[in-house]
Amino acid sequence: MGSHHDDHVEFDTTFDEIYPALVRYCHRLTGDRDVAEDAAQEAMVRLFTHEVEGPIPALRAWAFKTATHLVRDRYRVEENRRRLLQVHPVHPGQGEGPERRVERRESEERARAALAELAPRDREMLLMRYEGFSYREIADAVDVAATSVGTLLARAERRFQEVFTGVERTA
Amino acid sequence: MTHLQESLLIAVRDGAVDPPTEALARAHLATCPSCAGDLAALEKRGSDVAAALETLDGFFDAASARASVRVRVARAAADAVGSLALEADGRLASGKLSVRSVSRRFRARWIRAAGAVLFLAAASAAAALPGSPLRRWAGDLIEGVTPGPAAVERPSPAAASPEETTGVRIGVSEGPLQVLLRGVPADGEVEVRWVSGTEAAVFGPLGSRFTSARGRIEAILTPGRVRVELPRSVVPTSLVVDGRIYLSRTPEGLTVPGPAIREDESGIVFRGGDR
Ligand SMILES: [Zn+2]
Repeated sequence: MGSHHDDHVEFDTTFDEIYPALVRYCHRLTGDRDVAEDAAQEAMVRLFTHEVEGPIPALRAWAFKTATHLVRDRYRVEENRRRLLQVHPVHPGQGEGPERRVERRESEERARAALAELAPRDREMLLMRYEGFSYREIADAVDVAATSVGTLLARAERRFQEVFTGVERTA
Repeated sequence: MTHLQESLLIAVRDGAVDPPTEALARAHLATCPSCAGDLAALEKRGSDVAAALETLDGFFDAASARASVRVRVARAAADAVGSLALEADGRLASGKLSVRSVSRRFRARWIRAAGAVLFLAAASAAAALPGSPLRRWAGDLIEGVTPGPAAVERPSPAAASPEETTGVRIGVSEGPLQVLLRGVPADGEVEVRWVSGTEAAVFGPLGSRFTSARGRIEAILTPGRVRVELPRSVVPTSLVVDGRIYLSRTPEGLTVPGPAIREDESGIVFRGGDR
């Protein structure tokens, strides 16, 4: 009977170890709460109903890869960019009110705009990196050679920072 | 002297280079202020980007997401078991689902863990095959389920004949075992059968709803025949119908306060609730 209790605990702990970061990643990736929750939960359902074996880090990588593909399938590149910009239009310097709130709101808009500026794969790689995945796991999730992750990440991060800080270069 | 490329520096920063390469890079960094400066700038950029990304984050309710995922996993399991039962009954001609393929797709431990509340379409058909791997597997699957925060309800299949039943079966190796039935009409019958082994089950007409937990089955029944299977060896066991104790078996023996119509060695048939 004890094993059933363990199973129950295992479901909960597995879920809790993976989902919060997964939904955060999907939200960063899409800029849309509903889409983020849909994709993250669908990936979790697949994790539990498909035969996915292994320690937590492997399950976690599997869930992120699956969610990445779900988001990709649902949103084609141009549509995604357009939508991201609509959801979070960039109005630098707009608004009054409490200074900190405005600052944070502006920062959020600039971060959203900077992500929207990246190609989908670069965006996925950058966001996975900031969820702590190894270059090998990132390579597997977005289907690039592990040896090119450093180059691609460097480019994505540089571009993000340029747009975010407003220090634009001619691309 | 060749300086380190940004792609290598960023990999060094992220701890993503193999030890020999890292040793070479570190050796260079120790003697080259320019590259060391670049690495410091990359580290700064990394923390700036992390901070920028954090501004995007909001609150997400993980507990309700967990409940929702649990229900969906349980449903997937119920669909698999339902398909198996139908297949066993000869109603699913395609034969695409075999016991092996389904058990590969659905790991029993996840499904148990998900608190699967299983609705066995045509469960009587499956139960009629006592030696079949299907029944054994279905029994394994349901054994020891614990309820999730949200109970699963599944609509009954559209093209159901009145003969078809649905039900739930749990494993109970020791007491207490409690079976709670609701919605049994006064002119209805509840058939209790004593069974060997360590499984308890309740079957009712399609449209009935079941939840189960360790040592406990609850059923909300639609009008029709109800069959309850109780293992002889498990004590204490009680059957409660619409709030009334119908039978209770303790180490001291069996008492039957409910409205029994027939009773013999194999079981007891009760009338429904007086309401
Ligand atoms: Zn150098």
